[in-house]
Amino acid sequence: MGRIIVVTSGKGGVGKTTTTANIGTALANTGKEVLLIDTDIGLRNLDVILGLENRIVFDIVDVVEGRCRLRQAIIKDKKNEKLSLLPASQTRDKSAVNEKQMCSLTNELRNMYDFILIDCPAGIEQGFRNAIAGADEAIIVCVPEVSSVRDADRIIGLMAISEVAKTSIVINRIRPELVRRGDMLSISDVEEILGIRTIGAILDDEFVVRAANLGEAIVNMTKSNAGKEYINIAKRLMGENIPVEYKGMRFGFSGFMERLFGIEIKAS
Amino acid sequence: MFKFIKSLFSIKKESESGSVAKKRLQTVISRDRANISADFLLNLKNDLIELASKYIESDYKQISITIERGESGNAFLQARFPVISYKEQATVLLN
Repeated sequence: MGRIIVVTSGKGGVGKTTTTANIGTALANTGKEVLLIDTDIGLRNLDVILGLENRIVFDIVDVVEGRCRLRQAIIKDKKNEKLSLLPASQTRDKSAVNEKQMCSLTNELRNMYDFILIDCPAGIEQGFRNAIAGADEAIIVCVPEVSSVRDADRIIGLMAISEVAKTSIVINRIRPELVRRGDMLSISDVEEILGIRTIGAILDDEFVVRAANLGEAIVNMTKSNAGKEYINIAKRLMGENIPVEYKGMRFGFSGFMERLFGIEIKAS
Repeated sequence: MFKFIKSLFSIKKESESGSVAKKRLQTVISRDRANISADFLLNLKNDLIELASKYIESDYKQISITIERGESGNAFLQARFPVISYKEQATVLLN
């Protein structure tokens, strides 16, 4: 039986899609069968982040409305055949799918994959309700800023009243030099405020921009700090006990040098 | 009203913005969770001032009323009144 995990945030632009794509790729790289579902109907982007935008024929709305079979809509990743995508529709809106349809869809898919990651749209309206409807677990993405952390807390509250049992948080775009200076919330600050487990702490990383430009996964770029941490998140999801920390914080100066150095080095 | 909300957030002046952010978030989130409005807090503050003024003389600009989350995750109402002097009625009790 596969695990169904929704990646959500409340606030937009904090890195949900990037997180979904990269945790998914990292899991698939370990040999797990992974399906990514884009539920951001009308504003789909998971396809373009994965570099699969030219392969889409059918989408989730076609499946729900019976215009195609499920298998026809699911497309395989370019590099890893263990990774698949069920794309969102670009021409419809969130009301094209309801919670009941999402539940029966994910239940049908559950036995075909080890992990199903659902990329949730921003907001807490219909699209959000659809995305969480069939999920067992949630990964909440937030950046260490007041608006994002506040929204994350709201999402945690909504998860608690829905059927989602396990909730953890990914703190994205951490800037160690700001944390050191006392001008950015630290991992422990965010944990203390939200009172839930951190499953990943990702440094602000130029490779993220580069990877998006290229339509490639950051986890496949060996020099990327963010990529390494996404791999760690995948391992933690599979039960490995890897402490959440980041190099830039532990070894102040060398972390800073590494960041400088990392910028210089071209992605593999 | 704005001044009051601002006073809620600036319990202590911090030089680092990170700790200010943390404090503000703890305040706003506990209010979100309890679904309390700014009006609620204002009424509470006024009633607490009325009560306290029977017993103490306080600097009413320095008063802070906050609801914060403790380690257990429960919310705590915290009221801070700087005491300038005790009122006669109270000093009798204290002695």
